[in-house]
Amino acid sequence: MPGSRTERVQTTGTAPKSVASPAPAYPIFTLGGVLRHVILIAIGVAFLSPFVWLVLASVDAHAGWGVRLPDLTVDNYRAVLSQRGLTALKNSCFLAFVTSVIATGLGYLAAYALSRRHVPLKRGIMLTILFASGLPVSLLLVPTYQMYVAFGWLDSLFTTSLFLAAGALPFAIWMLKNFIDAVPLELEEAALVEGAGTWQTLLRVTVPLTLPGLSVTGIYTFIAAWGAFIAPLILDGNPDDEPAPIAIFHFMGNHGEFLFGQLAAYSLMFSAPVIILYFALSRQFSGAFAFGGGLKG
Amino acid sequence: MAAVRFRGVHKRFGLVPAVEELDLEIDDGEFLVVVGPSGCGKSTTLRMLAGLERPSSGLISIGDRVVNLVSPKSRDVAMVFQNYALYPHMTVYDNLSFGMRIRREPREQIRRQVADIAQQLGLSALLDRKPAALSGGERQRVAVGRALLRRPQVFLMDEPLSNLDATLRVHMRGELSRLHARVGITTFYVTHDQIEAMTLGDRIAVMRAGRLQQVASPETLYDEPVNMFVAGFIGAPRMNFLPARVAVTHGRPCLDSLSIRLDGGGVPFDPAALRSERVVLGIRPEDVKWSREAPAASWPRLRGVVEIIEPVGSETYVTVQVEDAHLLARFPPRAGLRPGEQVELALDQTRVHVFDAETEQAVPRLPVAALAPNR
Repeated sequence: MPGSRTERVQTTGTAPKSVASPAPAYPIFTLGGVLRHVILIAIGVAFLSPFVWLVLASVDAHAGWGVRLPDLTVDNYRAVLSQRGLTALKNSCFLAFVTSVIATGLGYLAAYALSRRHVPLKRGIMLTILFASGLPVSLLLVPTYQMYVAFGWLDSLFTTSLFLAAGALPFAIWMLKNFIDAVPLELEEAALVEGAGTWQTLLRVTVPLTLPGLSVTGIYTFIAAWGAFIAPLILDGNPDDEPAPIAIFHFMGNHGEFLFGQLAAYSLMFSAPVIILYFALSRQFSGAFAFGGGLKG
Repeated sequence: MAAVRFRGVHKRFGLVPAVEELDLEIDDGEFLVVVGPSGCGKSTTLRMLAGLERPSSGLISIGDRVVNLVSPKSRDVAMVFQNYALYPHMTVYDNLSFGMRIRREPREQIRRQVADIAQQLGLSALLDRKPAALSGGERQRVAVGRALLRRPQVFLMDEPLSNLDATLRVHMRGELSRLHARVGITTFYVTHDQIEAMTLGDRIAVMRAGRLQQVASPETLYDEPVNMFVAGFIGAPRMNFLPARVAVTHGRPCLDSLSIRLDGGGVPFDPAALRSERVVLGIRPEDVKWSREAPAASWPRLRGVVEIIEPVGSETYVTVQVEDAHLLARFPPRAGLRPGEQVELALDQTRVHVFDAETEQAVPRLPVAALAPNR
């Protein structure tokens, strides 16, 4: 009786109590249901409206505090893509890239040793690393500043990225160790018996099998350094080295007034790489752990 | 190819001994199977030979070379892992050629040899696949092929068949046997399966709790186990063990067990080697027969009740309760028995094994000549 079945499904929404079993878990058109949805939608709007403002204001010639239909223009983008804005994005790229490469590379070697070798007090070391990965880096800025003064390292993007890399290292080690732990030891042993040395085993077997972990860690450390504000602000006073987060800061009331349109446009451009990388990241997560077939029957 | 030698090898993990005082020689070209229950140290022994573990003391040599400090890559051994350890990110071709590429052999030579081995193992059509797309048997063949391409001095195999289903296991067992006959490489094969050991090994080494129990040919191991452990481990179904006492009648030692006295044909043990009168009598199920089938009237007889009947086709194994003991006997197929039925068993007392009840060591047999006059 297909007919009666359809009918029952249709009535479910309006009169859920009259139908026995297959009523939806959260009926919409009851007092409670309506209330629930109104509250949820209100919360959603509260979260979404800043983003809507960002997009609309970036193309609005007279952007202000409120969300409104824009007087369409691309002048905001044109303005922020001036020399200074572009340089800041380039600086951020350099900072984030170098930080990511150093943190991921060193982190991988440390994680490999911690995963595969006998290390005394390994548990203690791992717990310390976990603890350190939760510490805010800014705690260390004052002593680091003094160190950098002593070394003559101030005002350089590279040395600043060294500091950021050091800050990202605990997280990178912790993350990468879990990925390396997941690679069966037999695969490395097979390579060793077949005549590969430690480095060959690492490069030909372990690294290819932990590529998802490497890219996740790389992207994550990249994004963290991309948004770094306080460390470059303190360690690198050179105006030519100014990264994007500081440039955004300057849009806010630098000349006694808020340049809302430009601020929005630049913020959008600033977040674009992060959004792209997050998509790449989610793909890596879903495609990770392809050890199938290497072991067992 | 080369002979392998363990001399006084110990291995401890922390304070836990894994292998103790191992002295073992494998001849050039020999197929030696190391067998034992889980945790007996057989895999550790293999891993020490591969160089993946370092012995705590003692010497391991391959050919004339002591290899204790030689890294795995310089030992010239090839290993087949229990779970095959194929590189999941590489194709079958790349898996097979990995070692040769590491050793930077000429590309053309690699291609030729891989093609050759792939053909021998029936892998030619699979060279572009990744391991995930292979069946268990195919993966196993890739693992063997990878080891073959190494052209090693010694082949190491760590339970290579244990992940295959029963039919495939029997098939691959035959393949491995043929392969060894053809290439004749010294092989060190670890398994917990005594049938695999019996069918594959030129000689079998039985290990238990880190100690080597006995090394011998399959026949010797079966007929002359040195202790109760080996006697019980080798042979399926398992050997029966019965408590027994040594007595003396007419100046000759005999054995009392259950309601029977074994003396007539002369129980084949050396009375001089006995240390106590409490012994354990061991007899294999095929030496416990239905009395109707017993070839000689002189065989001691036992009455009991049928408990369990296990037909395996070519024969039937019947567990018979005799007093408070349970004896497994081999009956002819279609014996037509039913549980609860009274049945009479006959024992071939010339095939009885006698073990010291305390040390569980076998009591040495008398030479056959010494038994002859009593027959």
